[in-house]
This record gives sequence, structure tokens and C-alpha cells, in this order.
Amino acid sequence: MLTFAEEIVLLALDEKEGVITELPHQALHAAMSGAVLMELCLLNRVDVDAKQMKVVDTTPTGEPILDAVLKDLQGSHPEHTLAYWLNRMAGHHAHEILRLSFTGLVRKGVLREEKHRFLWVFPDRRYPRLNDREFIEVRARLRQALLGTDIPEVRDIVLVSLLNACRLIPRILADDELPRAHARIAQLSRLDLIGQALAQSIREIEFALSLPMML
Amino acid sequence: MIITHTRQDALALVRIEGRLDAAAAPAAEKQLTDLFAAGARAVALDGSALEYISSAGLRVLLSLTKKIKAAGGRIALGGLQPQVKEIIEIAGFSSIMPVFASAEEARRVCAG
Repeated sequence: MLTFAEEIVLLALDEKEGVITELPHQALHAAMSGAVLMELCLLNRVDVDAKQMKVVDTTPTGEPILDAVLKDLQGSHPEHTLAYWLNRMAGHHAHEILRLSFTGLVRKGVLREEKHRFLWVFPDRRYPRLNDREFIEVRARLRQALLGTDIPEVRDIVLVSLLNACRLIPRILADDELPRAHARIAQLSRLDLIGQALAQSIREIEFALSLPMML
Repeated sequence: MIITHTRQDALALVRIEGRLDAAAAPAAEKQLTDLFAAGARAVALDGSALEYISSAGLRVLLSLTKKIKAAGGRIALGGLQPQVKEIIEIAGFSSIMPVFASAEEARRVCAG
């Protein structure tokens, strides 16, 4: 089974280039942070409400990146907000979450790693898909969640929320499907509190990135 | 957290007391799943004694709602205290189950 972070990487990856090109780095890092927090939530290690997040179980999960983040969160002040932790994690852990997500996808036989040199000097890694099975499965599951009327599985609601926050829904639906799925996307995204905080963080990042262009 | 219920055929009036958070969620999930397995297909949730709900608690309600609706049943929530109502509204839960001012209204709707 893929983690949320691995599923986001898989869906965000440009199929031809084998790299993530469309998301600004900061937004990708925020999405990686949200993915790990959601994973910890579903494993009942952390709990959140509209105002704060707290660790409720320090038992290691066995997943290296989840356990590294869980350890960091253990020292958290109970009054820190979800936005604080998303920002902190984006700064401290996101790069590692991204690296481990690629490693996990290679280990699971979904991607292969190609090492290149950019301008013959700088190391450059690309990750073409080795097979389409997982991509097709994730995409089909999410299409069902977005175009159907039943209440989806909790994991799929969480993933829709994450993908919507980082504007990756167009990777799931065709252009002509997006307008009629608009209300459903909003409904499902709202059901998850971390997804809501993540969407806000990404909006703030995008606003900050747009400032130099406005000046 | 304490969950009690009264049954009348397929109708169940479920009262949730205390905090529905990550600590309480596994037990709550089991109790509500058992209730569904025992044939409850119209579930009125009385939230008048529910003091707090977190994202883990919301997932428990979501999971129960999914089961009930997939089985063609009815579920409604009523009598929420303001602090719980706020979270329910933020998460947009009224889009998946009707939310009423009183538990009695939720019961009436579920009774059909």
C-alpha cells in the first residue's frame, strides 16, 4: 500500500520528464507535510481540532519518516496550531519526506530512478514510471470518489483534500469533468480539518510567491 | 466517553457523552459498528452531552454514516453544544447528514 505522500508524488509526477514540474517547491513541501500529518492522524498518533494539534500516542509506527516527525511533534506545545506545524514541518522535514517518498516508490516497483548530470556537473534525478498499475488504481479510486455520490472511504476523502489543496485534481479528472465535480470536491475537501489548514497554507504560499510579480 | 443507546426495531437513539477524540475513537467505532451489525439502520445521534469532538471523532461519525447510507438507512444528528456544533459546521458535516437543533428532531426524522 502506498502512503499519502507517495500517492501525491505519483500523481504529481510528469510522466514524460519523470520529475515534479507544476507545483512550486514550497507548495509541494506543504503538501508533503500535510500528507504525513494525515497519515499520523489515521494511525491515531496525533489528533487535531479546528484550533490545535496534539500527540496522543508516541508508539513508533515502523515507517522511518512518520517516526521522525512523530518524535519532533512530541516536544510540541499543546497550543501550537495546525498551521504552525504545517509550516514547521515544511521547513524541517518536507525535503526528507519527498526523498523517502521517491525511495519508497522505487522500492515498491512503481518508479525507477535515473541519475543524470545537469550541465554535466549538477546531479539530477528523474523517476519515470516503471509500471502504470498503481497510478491507474489510485486515479480510478479517486475518480470514483469525485464522480460518484456515495460517501468515499476515509483515506480517499483525505487524499482528495490533499490533492485539492495542492491543485492536483486536474490530474484525476478531464477538463469537462471538473465543473460538474466542483461542488463534490469542495464537499469532500472540507470534511478533513488538516486538508483545510493545508489549503490555507498553500494559498498563503502562493500569495507570497505572487508578491514580487505584483510589485 | 460513554455511548448508550435505546433500540426500537431498526431505529436506534444513540447518546454520546463526554469527549469523542483519538483516545475514545476506537471504542466508539466498535460500539457503533456493533450497533450497525445488530441491524440498526435508522440512527439518531443525540449530541446534547457531547462536550468535544476532534478529527478522530469526526472520522467515527463519517464511517458510521457511510455504512448506514450504503445500507439505504437514515442517520441524523441533533442537540449539539455550541463548541461541537462549531466543529461540525467547519467540517461541513451537514452535507452528509442532517443536523438538527434537538435530538428529538433527529429521532423524528430517523423514525420516518
